[in-house]
Amino acid sequence: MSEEQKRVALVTGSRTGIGRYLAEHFLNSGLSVVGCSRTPSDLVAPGYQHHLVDVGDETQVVEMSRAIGRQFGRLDILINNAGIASMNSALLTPLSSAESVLRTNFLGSFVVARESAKLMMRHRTGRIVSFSSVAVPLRLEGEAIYAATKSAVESLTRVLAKELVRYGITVNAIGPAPVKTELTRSIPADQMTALLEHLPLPRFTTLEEIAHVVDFLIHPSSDGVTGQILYLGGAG
Amino acid sequence: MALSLIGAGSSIKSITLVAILVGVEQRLAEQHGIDLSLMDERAMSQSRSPFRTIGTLTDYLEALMRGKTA
Ligand SMILES: NC(=O)c1ccc[n+]([C@@H]2O[C@H](COP(=O)([O-])OP(=O)(O)OC[C@H]3O[C@@H](n4cnc5c(N)ncnc54)[C@H](OP(=O)(O)O)[C@@H]3O)[C@@H](O)[C@H]2O)c1
Repeated sequence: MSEEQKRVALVTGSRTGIGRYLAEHFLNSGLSVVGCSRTPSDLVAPGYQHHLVDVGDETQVVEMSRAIGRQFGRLDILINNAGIASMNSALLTPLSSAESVLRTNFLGSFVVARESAKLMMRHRTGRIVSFSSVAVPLRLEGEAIYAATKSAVESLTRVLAKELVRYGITVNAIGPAPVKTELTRSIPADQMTALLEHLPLPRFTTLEEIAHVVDFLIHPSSDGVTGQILYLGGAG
Repeated sequence: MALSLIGAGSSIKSITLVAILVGVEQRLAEQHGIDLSLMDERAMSQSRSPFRTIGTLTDYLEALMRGKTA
């Protein structure tokens, strides 16, 4: 397949964790992949390029999006994955911490989706997959701000799905149960066990399971699947 | 009569206006190498929308491009 015909995927937060796994998964599937994070990535592979971009910074996101437009003339898939967490009692959460979680998780998802949709409109096709969490339906104590930003991502997903359906763009979100990544590393083992016990399927979600759901959502035959939030671990 | 893009006199749906504005941004970038955001705070904060008619949109574009090259 020629370079121009390859599907192009943008994966935000591709330096580590779920984003890194999905970037490599797409590369193995023959896609061109653009990734980003605030700090440099050690992923070097044919078909992969990395941008140093903070998704909460509109100017940086617009510049990255224009670079994708100039280089590929298209964008087929957006994995709106960059996210941070701050586990704390709501009463002990400083506004600055809440603001930074909101900026990355919600405003970042919004601005990346907005700019990506403009690129996808060119070919009247596209797939946007954002990241929510089981923290939303489980209403976990200590995750008020994180869960609230993910609720906002869910609302954004549902409304964007309606606005973009006429351009052939689907918009969905995945809500994984806990995954073993940097994000969850600092949660003490006893707290994690208690958290998992809230789930009908009380175990970690694997990266392979996430890739499987992503593959379904981005499949060319999934044109009719939009505005959905798909939880893992039996939550929701 | 000026061709209305928005408001009562317009036959263009708001969603079509979105497609027109995104298309103009992309043409400017691809064919002229000019990176402009039409839908930024300046456009939104004007009491009379620059997107009212083809004429006001053109004036707005010219002003933005003058700003870019100034
Ligand atoms: N792990 C879980 O248990 C779990 C469960 C449910 C949902 N999720 C969601 O899944 C997504 C990925 O999480 P993960 O577990 O893979 O986390 P992770 O391992 O901590 O990775 C997060 C990635 O995002 C990047 N990032 C963070 N803030 C950014 C910003 N403002 N701009 C650009 N990149 C940024 C980080 O790189 P830099 O630090 O270099 O920027 C890193 O590459 C998140 O949205 C998270 O909420 C995770």
